[in-house]
Amino acid sequence: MFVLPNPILERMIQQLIRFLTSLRLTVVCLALGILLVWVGTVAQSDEGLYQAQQRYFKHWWVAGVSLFGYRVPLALPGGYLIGTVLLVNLVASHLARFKFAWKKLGIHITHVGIILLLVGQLTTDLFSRETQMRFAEGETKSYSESAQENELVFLTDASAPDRDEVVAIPESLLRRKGEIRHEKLPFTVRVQQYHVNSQLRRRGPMVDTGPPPATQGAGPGVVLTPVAETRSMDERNLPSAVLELAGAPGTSGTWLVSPLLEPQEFKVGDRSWRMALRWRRVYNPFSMQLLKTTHEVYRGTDIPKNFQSRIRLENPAKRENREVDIYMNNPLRYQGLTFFQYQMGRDEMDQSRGTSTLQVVRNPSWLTPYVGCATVAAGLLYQFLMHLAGFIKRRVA
Amino acid sequence: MKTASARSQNPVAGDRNACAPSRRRGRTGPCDRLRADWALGVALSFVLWNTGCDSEKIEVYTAAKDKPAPATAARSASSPSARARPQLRWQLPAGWRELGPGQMSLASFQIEGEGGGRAQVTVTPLAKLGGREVEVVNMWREQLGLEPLGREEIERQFENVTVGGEPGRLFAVDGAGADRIVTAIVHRPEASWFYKLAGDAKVVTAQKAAFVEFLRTVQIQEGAPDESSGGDSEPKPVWQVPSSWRELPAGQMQLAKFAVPARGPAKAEVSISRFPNDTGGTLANVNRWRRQLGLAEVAETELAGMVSALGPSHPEGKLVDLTHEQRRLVGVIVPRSGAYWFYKLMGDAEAVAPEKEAFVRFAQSNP
Repeated sequence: MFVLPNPILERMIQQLIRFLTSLRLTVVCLALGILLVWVGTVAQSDEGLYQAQQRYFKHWWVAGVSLFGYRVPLALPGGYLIGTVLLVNLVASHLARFKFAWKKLGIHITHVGIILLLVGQLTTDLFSRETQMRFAEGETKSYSESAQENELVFLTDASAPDRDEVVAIPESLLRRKGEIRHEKLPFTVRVQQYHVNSQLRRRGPMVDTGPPPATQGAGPGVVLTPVAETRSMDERNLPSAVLELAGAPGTSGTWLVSPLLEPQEFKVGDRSWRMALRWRRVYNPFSMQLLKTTHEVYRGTDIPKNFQSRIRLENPAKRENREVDIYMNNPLRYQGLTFFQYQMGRDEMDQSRGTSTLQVVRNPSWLTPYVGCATVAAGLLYQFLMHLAGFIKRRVA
Repeated sequence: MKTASARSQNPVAGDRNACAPSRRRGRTGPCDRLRADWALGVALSFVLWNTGCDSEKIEVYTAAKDKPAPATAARSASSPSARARPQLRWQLPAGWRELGPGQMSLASFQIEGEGGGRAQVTVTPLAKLGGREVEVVNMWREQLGLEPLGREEIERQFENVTVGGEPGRLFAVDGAGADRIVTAIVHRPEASWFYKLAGDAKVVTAQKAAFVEFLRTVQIQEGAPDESSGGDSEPKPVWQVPSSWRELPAGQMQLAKFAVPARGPAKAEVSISRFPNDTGGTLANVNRWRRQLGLAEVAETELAGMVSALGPSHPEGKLVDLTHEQRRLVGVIVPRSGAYWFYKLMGDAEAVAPEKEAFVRFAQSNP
């Protein structure tokens, strides 16, 4: 319990609480939610599914919307803002008007269920993560990779001979350009150019006469062509950046980084470094080796009957070493992660070698939608039965 | 001032004192709970907001070093370069130096002009591009920084030329700088063949007549491996293959192919080919192998340091051992019985190392 001595502040808080508990706010939020869902859905054809989800539903504000190929200068509250205000409105109203009565118990339960749904969706958006683990038979992986995000990494030998120390810079910092500093890096990274999507090809010795994109590493040997950002679900942007490593002798000049290039090595003093722009990685404290892939189709057709990966799961910390089968509708749930069978193929170098891609999903709040829906259903059922019982009682009387 | 319990009798918003705090000790009204909830909500939002901004942070961690990934640049079986390589014959013009086949080209030549100018000739079969000459010409023009031309203008610039008895079309593109490209295109049933003379404009202009004459002498023997090239129809030599090697289906232009024992995920293969000539010489072949590993090409002067004799009993044989980023290639060129034998052990370094000795013995003794 706390008491505010300042009457002005007291009044301001009262007004704020009245605003937060008003039914008008609920109606406005629901209307804006309907508008946002419609705009966000229509915009998917112009901006692509992933971009539209990010910009309209996973942001607090939307500045400028795309409708039927036109850019409309319209500002809308984003999905996060509408959801958060609805949640606060619901909780505040519930607390301000709460009065326990058996005949209203169903309504209270229903509200709790809706709160769970809202909180669950928010936490899912904030904490869930989807990555992919690709490997060929015999390969062992202890990390999965993002299908959308990239990272600039600087690698140097760690104290253990078979390990690297990794400084991973998210792509969003490259997008801003400017300078990037970190205490672990003995140089400043100056981002001179950043392209969200680009093409690289080997430089023709007599044909490509323009200046190379960068002077060091792989830069002089390639031609860089920036291209428009792809919105297609079947394609992936291939970003590139031209960097300068300032403040370290021996690294003068510029470097081109791209997921299409192998890590490039350079030295600062006696220490060797490697630099790469790669798919964003998420490391696990355990490793998985792909032992065998099984790809069965219905006889005489290309329709898949069974995708199955036999995995050796090794977790030294738990002294765990076992084989697991992952196949369609039978994911592996391990340490808060769910591994779904996603794709299968053949190694391009060795067609006798199968490859497998697992979808790796981390969603700590995966249960909340189930619990929320069940709670809402229970509340509505209770309320319905209460009314039904009263109705029958009146009829009998 | 109304108490919380009084407000609870009239919970409709609009009561100005509806949320006045309860001053009674030990009691907590709904408005107090609301404020506490509000504070909790702000704190929770702050936590969530900060969590949501994690993707902006630079992370530092240690991780196991990457093991070499399986090569992904293998050519698909349907690509022209993966099919049977036709045999080319030609009469070499004076002043041209043969460089051997490249990654895409079947043959390439170097021309040194006066005053240090250079030009290069390449012969490359590509996917069938019949009817798309305009796009091809404009592609070259774009690479030289020139504006594209219209179809009529390009058609006007084409010259007719004879390539090995077949009709072809020749065009020239002058770059904004001192570069010039002269290209002849011949559409054959299996592919479109590009004969390109490119380099310093002065050298290209001076060599154009020799280039046209060279085109007349070119002969293509399509898909019919002669007795000196690898092919399914040729009887295999009697091999003395190490027992641990596993025979694989030989690729086009290969006499045989073997998989050596894998070391965990590390794999390597041995392939053997035979050609009637040295396909451009030791330098061209070493550079071709270096390119396969992703290494830069070397000059003639650097070659001596990286090529050794196959052994005391085979001083004429040449042995090369190249490593790049966990990938290793051991190559051997042996002139034998009027032909050149090419042995290659290539794959993950971990799998190549234990097999090198057996591979060298195999190359020395076979067939």
